Amino acid sequence: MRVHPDIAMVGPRWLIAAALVLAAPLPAAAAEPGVLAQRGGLLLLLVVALVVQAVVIAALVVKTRRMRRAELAARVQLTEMAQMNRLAAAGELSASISHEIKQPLAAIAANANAALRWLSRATPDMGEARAALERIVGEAHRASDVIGSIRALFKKAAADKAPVDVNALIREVLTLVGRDLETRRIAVETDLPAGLPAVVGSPAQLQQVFLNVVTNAVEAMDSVAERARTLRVTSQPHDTEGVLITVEDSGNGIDPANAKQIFEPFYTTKQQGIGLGLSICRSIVESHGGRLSASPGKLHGLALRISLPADQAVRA
Amino acid sequence: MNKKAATAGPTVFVVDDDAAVREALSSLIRSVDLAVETFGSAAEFLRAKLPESPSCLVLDVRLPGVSGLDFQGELARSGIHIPVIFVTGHGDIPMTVKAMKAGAVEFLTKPFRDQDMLDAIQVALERDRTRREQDGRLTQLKTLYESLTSREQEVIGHVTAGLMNKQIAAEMGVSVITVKVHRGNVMRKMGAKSLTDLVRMADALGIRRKT
Repeated sequence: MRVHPDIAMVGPRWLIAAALVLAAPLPAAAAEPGVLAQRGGLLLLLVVALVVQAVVIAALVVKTRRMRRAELAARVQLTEMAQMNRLAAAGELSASISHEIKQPLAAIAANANAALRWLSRATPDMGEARAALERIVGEAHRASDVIGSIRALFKKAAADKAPVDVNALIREVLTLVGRDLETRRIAVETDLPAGLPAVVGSPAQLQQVFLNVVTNAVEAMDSVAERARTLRVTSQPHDTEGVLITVEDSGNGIDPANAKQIFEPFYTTKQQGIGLGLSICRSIVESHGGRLSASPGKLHGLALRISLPADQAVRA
Repeated sequence: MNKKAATAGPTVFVVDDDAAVREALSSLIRSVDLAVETFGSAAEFLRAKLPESPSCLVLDVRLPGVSGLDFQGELARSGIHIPVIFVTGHGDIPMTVKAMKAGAVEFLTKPFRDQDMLDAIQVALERDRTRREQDGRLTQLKTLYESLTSREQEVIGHVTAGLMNKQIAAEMGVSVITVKVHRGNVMRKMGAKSLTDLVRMADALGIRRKT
């Protein structure tokens, strides 16, 4: 517990003043009983002053602690807002993608229906049918272009690469989910040795990967009651020049039959998941030249391994 | 690729900012022998001259500048009673409810089934046809009413208020015979087959005196 610096200053000053009063050399007249009584009054004053000081210190300590708690709550709220923003952005993105794709699909469907109707007339109108079919070809290409441009967008995001300190990134993510870990009573074990090679990549994307994997691990332990809930995150040098990050949980693991599926798009075991998390993680890791794999862990649950090649030139 | 509407037949108007969707809809609608006119924006549509024949509007919800839903309200406020069929890329329930409450014929999500679209168009055109007939009848009634003399108009008010000839005569300060003559003229000129018929006409014209 830290004492407010003002208190630290105020306290001794009081004490010194009181001590000075008591230790003041007695004048000749001090031998009289009246003067002695006066000195007793001063003593009382000193005791009262000390009590008042103690109360003030206690009050300030409580206040500091409250402020710190509020600060923490505010930080947690900010994190939650950031996550919600990210979700909202993802929602917005998917809405606009779906709009962009539904336009050509609507045109294709309507053109195809029109072509069929032109052909099944009493005297088929070949010209109109042909025109509709040609428009279908054009729209199919347009839909494909939309998808292509989305892919290009993601590639561009991945292109903003910088040297990344994997351990720092992991610690950031653990701070982000800190409150979650507390409320779910999950113990965290980390082994993040210094001197790992730096990885070159998109910090935002890699953070997304770690956050996703850690969140999965945290949520996997929701149903665990009979044993300790433990999240273990370790990093270590890998191969010759890479880094291996392992995220293990003490959840119930997964059925070996489903082990391959967990990276498939739209595969989910969660009530509210859309099943894209790990599939996106895997493509991000692979775009960094790394690998993402899952296996049964030592803690009864699942162990996810993320290996990333290091940048040859930079060392963290 | 605006195909000019035949003057007599019904016309379908399409407003969608996506040219490909416009063309596809146009082809689909023409394939069932309906006239179609397409527009890229609400403003363009407003500049067009609306025909006297039945028509309906296929309207994209997401339009540049103005949302289709707002545009629907704008049309209603400026007294354009064209039935609207909405199409949208992703319609949510509140959006659908709002559109339907404002009188939309149908709310279709892209990609739509052609039969759904064509059925909606038929319903919309039928609705417009009925409204036009009613409007036409009212215009006709108004013309007839205006052809009456002021005395005859006065008599209509009294008659449809349920007054007897004697009472009307007293009100107007004329003889019962004169009232009968006016009354006969009113029935003939308005083409009313009975008193009930006349009352109905007076109701439609909003000239029936409160009793």
